[in-house]
Amino acid sequence: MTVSTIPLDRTAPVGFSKGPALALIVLLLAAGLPLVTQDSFFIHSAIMVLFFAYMATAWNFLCGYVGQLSLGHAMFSGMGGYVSVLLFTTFGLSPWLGMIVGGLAAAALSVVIGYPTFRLKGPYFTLTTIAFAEIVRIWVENTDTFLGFHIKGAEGLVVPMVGESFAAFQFGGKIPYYYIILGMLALAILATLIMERSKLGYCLKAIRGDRDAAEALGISPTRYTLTAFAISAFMTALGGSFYAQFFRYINPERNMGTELSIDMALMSIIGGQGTAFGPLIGALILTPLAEVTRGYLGGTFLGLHLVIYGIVLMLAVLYFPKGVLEPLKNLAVGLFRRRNPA
Amino acid sequence: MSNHRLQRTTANKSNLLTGALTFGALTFYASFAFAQAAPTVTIGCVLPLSGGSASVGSQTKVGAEIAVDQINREGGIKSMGGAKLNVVFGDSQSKADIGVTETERLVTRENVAALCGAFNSAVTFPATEVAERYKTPWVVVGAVKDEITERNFKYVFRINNKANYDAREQVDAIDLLSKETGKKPKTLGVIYEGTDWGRSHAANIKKFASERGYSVVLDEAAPPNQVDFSNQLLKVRSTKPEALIVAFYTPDHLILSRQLMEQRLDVPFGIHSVGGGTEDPAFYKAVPPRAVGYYFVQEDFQIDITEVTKDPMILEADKRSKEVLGYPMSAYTAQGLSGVYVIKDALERAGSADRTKLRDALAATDIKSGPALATGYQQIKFDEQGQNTHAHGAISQNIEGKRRTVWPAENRAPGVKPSWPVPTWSERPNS
Repeated sequence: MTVSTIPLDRTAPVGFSKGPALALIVLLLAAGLPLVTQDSFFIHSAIMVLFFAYMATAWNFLCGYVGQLSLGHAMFSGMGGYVSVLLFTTFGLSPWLGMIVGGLAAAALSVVIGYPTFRLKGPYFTLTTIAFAEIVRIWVENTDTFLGFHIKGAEGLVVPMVGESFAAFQFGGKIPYYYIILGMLALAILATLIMERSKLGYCLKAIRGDRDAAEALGISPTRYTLTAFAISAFMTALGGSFYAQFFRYINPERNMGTELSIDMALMSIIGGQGTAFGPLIGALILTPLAEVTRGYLGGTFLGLHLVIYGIVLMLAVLYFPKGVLEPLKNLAVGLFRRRNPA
Repeated sequence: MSNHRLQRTTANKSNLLTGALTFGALTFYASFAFAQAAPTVTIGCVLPLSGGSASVGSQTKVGAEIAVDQINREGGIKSMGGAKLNVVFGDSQSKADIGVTETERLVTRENVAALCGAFNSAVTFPATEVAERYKTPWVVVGAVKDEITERNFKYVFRINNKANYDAREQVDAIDLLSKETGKKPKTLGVIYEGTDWGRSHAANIKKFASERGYSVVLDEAAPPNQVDFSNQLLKVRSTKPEALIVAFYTPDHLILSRQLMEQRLDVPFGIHSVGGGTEDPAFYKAVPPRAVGYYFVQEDFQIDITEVTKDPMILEADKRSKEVLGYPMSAYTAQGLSGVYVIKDALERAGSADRTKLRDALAATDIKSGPALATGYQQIKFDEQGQNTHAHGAISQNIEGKRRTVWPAENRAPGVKPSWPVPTWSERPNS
């Protein structure tokens, strides 16, 4: 009835039966968007919404389900971006393959970092992720050349323009990028839905509920959380590669910085972490909010847009501590019941 | 009772939620329906107005606004029947993706005739690409990354220096002062923050120093934001460079300057700072004047421009800057002012806000006087890559508490006599 009575573990039948159908409808609507408008700024903004939704979904895959707060996911994004760009500029390897390599590298890094850190709980885990991400960022900022690759330190990497080419991940207009990130987001949500219903999902939720009890039942927390961490890092790195190809410029400050990590976490938390669609809802609310307030106020009242953004975040956390998805769902269910009194 | 209260809270929550969502949706879509009715010419400026570089961004913004006020007061764009100029700003937050989004917005929503900005190279580089794709001229203000004007773009013009000019200018100044006095340092030291900026500057210094016959006896990187420079100063003491080149931002520069004074460390041919902290008006409020005595400071702005120029617009801009910001015109204010005046000059000649015509007019820019030269250049003229080949920084020396330009010689005010070599601590007054 009220938010507070919803149990922590949400494998509620609502999500189970209607999730995929809902996802399909949303996907079809989104796929039709470029038919309705070709407006460049609108498509660009939509790409940014989908990009952040994707990144938040990748973050949520681990953090939402295990209940650990990572504020270092940007390092995987940066890794994906850097690996794909360097492979493209050095060997001419197509970014499509480069992003897979970057993803695998990020997954490997996540295992190296995750193995020692998952023994830590709560703030200790969070602090460790921040520390690792900052170490990676500072190292990249201060390294010109590594193993013969020109990382160029804080200057960042430029993806040279080679003209429109599918293999080079370069397109004239924005619509191809829109469909690519839409497809990536759909796959990420699908992966989350499958994971929720798989052994991995149940084990993660058991670990989130009570780690010691789960261990007593024979669930290895390290094994399952590491698996989820690796998948999450892999997906995050693909997002980082997408960013690099879309903007054709990356630098450590933006693509590995704490702000990106925080954005990923915020959108999941505001939308509803530990749910397949929460991160999407979070990005759908926060990205346009940031965009509109910045557009209207950013140039005239300096910093006011960030104040408003902050207030919205505070209100969201105060009133919807489990994310906006849950009350939205209740609202929908309530409306449905009012129309069809059973 | 408690049940009732709970229900009411839920109702409030959903009201709040629907309200927020409706408001969000309305404003979001309203922004797309908004179009500029245009008896005026609108230009857009992308700047870091919040985040780490916000201070720089807002100074540039003030400069641009002053220029627009002056132009409109003086009758607008005369060749366009006195059309008024209007400037809209976009906040990049120093982030590439946000700068690009803001550029998209300014071009497609605000229908700007031209763009300017964006200080951060990391923002300017990808954002100018958007401008090029939309065939909208972009006048680069502040960003120094070499490649910005090395991409054969048709719509990108840069008024200010490329990154590698700064080091050359510092060595040029040492050369000039040596030639004028016949006293030449043989050895240089360079200490800098270990970041992209500091390290690339040190590399350039070493390159130019070896070409001009100076030997670099100290090459020392320090991590940013340290609390003590004793270690670095000990190395200065033992290697005894005759001139010391430093590259630090405000917090580090403050500590370094204080410790140099406390230790009374003599460097015969002075401290040569490549801007950073010493460009920041806040820096001078935080150090005792003695600590920065005889400092040489290289920056993209002639610090004593108001003492040498007779241009009423520049003098007025300096006054307005004091009113708005609380300190005289800075490098960033001057760059914002200059950027808008360069666009205004092109609009006058194009006689139209058409982006292609404006681009052609910008390419033909040849400014030799007026407020567009507020940064201290003698001329603004772009090469085929859009780089102003007459861009140069200016190097000032802090003589008797006043920062006076000593390099290049043509920017030096009459009566300004550089102190070379600089007096030792014991020779300085009040010591």
